[in-house]
Amino acid sequence: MKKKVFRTLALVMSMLMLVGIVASCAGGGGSGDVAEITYMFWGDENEVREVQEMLDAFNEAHPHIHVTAWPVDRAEIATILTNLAASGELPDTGFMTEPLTIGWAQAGFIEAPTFTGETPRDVISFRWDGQKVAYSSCVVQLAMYYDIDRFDGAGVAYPPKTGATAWDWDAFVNAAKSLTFDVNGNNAHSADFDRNSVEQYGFYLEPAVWQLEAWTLSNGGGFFNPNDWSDVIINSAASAEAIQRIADLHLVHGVMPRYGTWPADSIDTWFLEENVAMAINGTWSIGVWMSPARDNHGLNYSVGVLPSMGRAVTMATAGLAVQYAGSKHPEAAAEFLAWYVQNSGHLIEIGIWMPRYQSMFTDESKMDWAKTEAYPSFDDFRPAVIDYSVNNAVSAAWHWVPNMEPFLDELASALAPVWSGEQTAQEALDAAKPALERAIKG
Amino acid sequence: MSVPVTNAPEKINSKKPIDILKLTGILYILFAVITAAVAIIHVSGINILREFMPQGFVFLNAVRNYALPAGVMPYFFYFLFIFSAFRVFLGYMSIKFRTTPDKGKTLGFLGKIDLWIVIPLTVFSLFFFDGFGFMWFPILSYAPTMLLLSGSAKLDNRPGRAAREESRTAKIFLIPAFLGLTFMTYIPLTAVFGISLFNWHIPFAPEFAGFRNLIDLFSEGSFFWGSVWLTVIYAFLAVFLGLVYSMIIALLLNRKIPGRVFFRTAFYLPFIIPVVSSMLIFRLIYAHNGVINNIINMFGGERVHFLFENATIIPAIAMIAVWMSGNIIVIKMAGLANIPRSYLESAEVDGANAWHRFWKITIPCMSPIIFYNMLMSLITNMQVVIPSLMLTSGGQSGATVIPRSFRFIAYELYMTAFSAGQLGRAAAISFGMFVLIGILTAILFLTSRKWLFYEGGGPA
Repeated sequence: MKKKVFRTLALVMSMLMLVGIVASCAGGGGSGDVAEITYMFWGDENEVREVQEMLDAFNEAHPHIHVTAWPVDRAEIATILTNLAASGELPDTGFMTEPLTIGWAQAGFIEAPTFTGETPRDVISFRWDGQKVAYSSCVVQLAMYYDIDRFDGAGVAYPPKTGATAWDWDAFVNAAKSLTFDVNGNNAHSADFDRNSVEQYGFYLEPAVWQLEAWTLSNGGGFFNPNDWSDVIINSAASAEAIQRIADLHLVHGVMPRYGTWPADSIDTWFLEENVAMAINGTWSIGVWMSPARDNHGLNYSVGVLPSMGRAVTMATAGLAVQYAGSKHPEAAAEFLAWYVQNSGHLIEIGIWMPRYQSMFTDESKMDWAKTEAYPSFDDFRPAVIDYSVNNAVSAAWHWVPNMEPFLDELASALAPVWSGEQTAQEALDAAKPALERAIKG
Repeated sequence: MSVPVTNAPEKINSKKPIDILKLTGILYILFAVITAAVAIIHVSGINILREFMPQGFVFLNAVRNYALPAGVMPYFFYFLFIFSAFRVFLGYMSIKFRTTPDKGKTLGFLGKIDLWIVIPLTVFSLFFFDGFGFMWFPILSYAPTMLLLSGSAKLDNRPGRAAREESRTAKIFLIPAFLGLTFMTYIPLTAVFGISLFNWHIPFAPEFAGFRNLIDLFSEGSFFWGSVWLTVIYAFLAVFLGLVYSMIIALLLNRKIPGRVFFRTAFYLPFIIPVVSSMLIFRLIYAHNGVINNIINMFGGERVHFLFENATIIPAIAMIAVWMSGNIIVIKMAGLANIPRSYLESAEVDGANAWHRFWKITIPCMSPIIFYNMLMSLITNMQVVIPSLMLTSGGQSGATVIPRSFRFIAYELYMTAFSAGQLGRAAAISFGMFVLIGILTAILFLTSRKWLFYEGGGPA
């Protein structure tokens, strides 16, 4: 009996092996004429549903291509791509995070983009080795959001709307002080101001270290030598001073909570619950947080330009949809991507994306996208975002520097004692420079 | 199972004993079934692995890549499969025709084949296939297995038939555990060491780097010792406070107090709440405008940035670990209930006060349990990473402020692998961590002889 069982098992095993081998050899032939491709992306439930609807529309219109959605968790994207790359199973197309892009392009995992119509704006191009290796799917940049009611209440003039008239740093600090109140109603200019019981802060800055580059550039410094990315200049006097000024908003002026110490995750909560009069955040927040807060909770907000430390700059960046190398159907993948970006109009309509073509920023007749209900008043938006973008936007460093993720990770740790006042920015950055250089070189 | 020898010798004789060779064969069959199933599923178009691929499940990745004609030299894999099938066949024939009287010898022979053919082939492929060859470790790990089995097979020949029966049964029951250990522990462990020898910067192809990753880890300017120091401080704090806290709670709950069941549940509850939710709760509790700070503020104190000040982070998150030690409380309570009442009573008659009874009787009787708890929580806490990931991250664009004192060794490992994409370096950190925990465990074991008290003489 046992013998029989064993013999049967052995037979089954051999059969299975045979089937496995035969089946594997037969595989790879594809399934008919339809090109099967995948699209990896992240998003919440609504976004997943929206993407699925788009893919359904695409599949219907393109019978020779079938795109399958592959939703993943944004926080896990690097992990997942890493695993897939290790096993040679990258998706055909998918969303990519900015810090990963240059490295992946450098390693040959991203196909160079091709365009039939207008080429997207230079500011959102990813540049490596003299080539434009990828373009962001849209333009988004930093903007100054402010609560109109709080400004009116304190009798403070609204933030300027053009790069040329941007607040200098002192004017900005002054305004922020006039907008910071303790529980007794004293503002930060007052001698009685109690900074330990602040009711409303003048300003809050999202603790995302990549945004600090904007300040260093504004002050005449930067993160990297523009001619050589491997030359880290973040500890130059100008850069360190810029970062110190951000820290001093809390340490010296008391107009901002300590950088990074608010648990609130999103800008609308800062305005609605944490009580802040101004905050800097990406323009995606118009669609994601600010306008919903306006529509649902009556937040009366508008946008202005960032204060300037010398040079008026804002930082442009955006995630991107890319075509991964190694796709079995590269043409189908390219066709899908072109269609996808072209048809992401609703994201622009609801204020999350801005279009990626120069003409839509310069040609008044093509600016209807910014006149939908989702956007703040066009009179503010046009100068403070559209024109500001054309004249003052610079690309965030990950558009031309690889290994930004470990660099920023290292930088975030190095700067923690700066925000608490234990170290000056200059000390911390001097000490961290070797580690930062190691990180950027990979 | 124990079968009395004298009862039914005929019956036992009539059975063909399940040979250890067959067990090995079953192992290979299982391996083949999994691979074939994966191949069939893949070809049929249901990309089940893609849908359900757990992160870091290297083995499935390996199977998928090398059992399928996806990339490099699948035939090599098939060769090894045919080779193992051949071995099963060989084993079967040897039983059928009893060509080898000593089965241990046959197995030893197979072990030697592993040693001289499979291992060299594996090592060869390690260098040959763009460094991806370490995926062959699944195969490699069979060699020690075979040697192990051949050793136990030899032992089988010595005692009587009943003992043989028993050991045979034991082995069958050990198969699942054995498979789990092999695929989930030993293979990843070996693979990690293998990967640590490579400079593997995702998305670039790996390059052999020898021991450079390990050397870099201990070289000057490396974060390693700082992180280790931090982790050790945290682990000791969490373990020590956890032991004291759980002991106090267990002593209290062991008394006949009203609502004992309720309190037992209440103190156990933190252990079964998903860690991530606990962390979110504590993030709110420790927040600048959180409960603790509001209380401090109410009494006129200055708000503390618990999760941002170097001085407060470690104690703050050690407290979370202490709060979550519901399981230790339950184990301690069971231990307390097992202390013979007579000891305590006679001590009381002899005039020992409560403190003496606790210190001279309760603690020594509890020492094996304390030891076990210490060991387990030390190992768990050395691998702490969730607080770093949960308590600092947030914001739209991954906005975080991560003080140095949040960068535990496991966090560095995670960031090195999945933020910097340096798999080789991460593997080196992982290996260093493994050695470190091993050393700490060894120290604990060595010192335990001095204070561990086993009622009735202790284990053999």
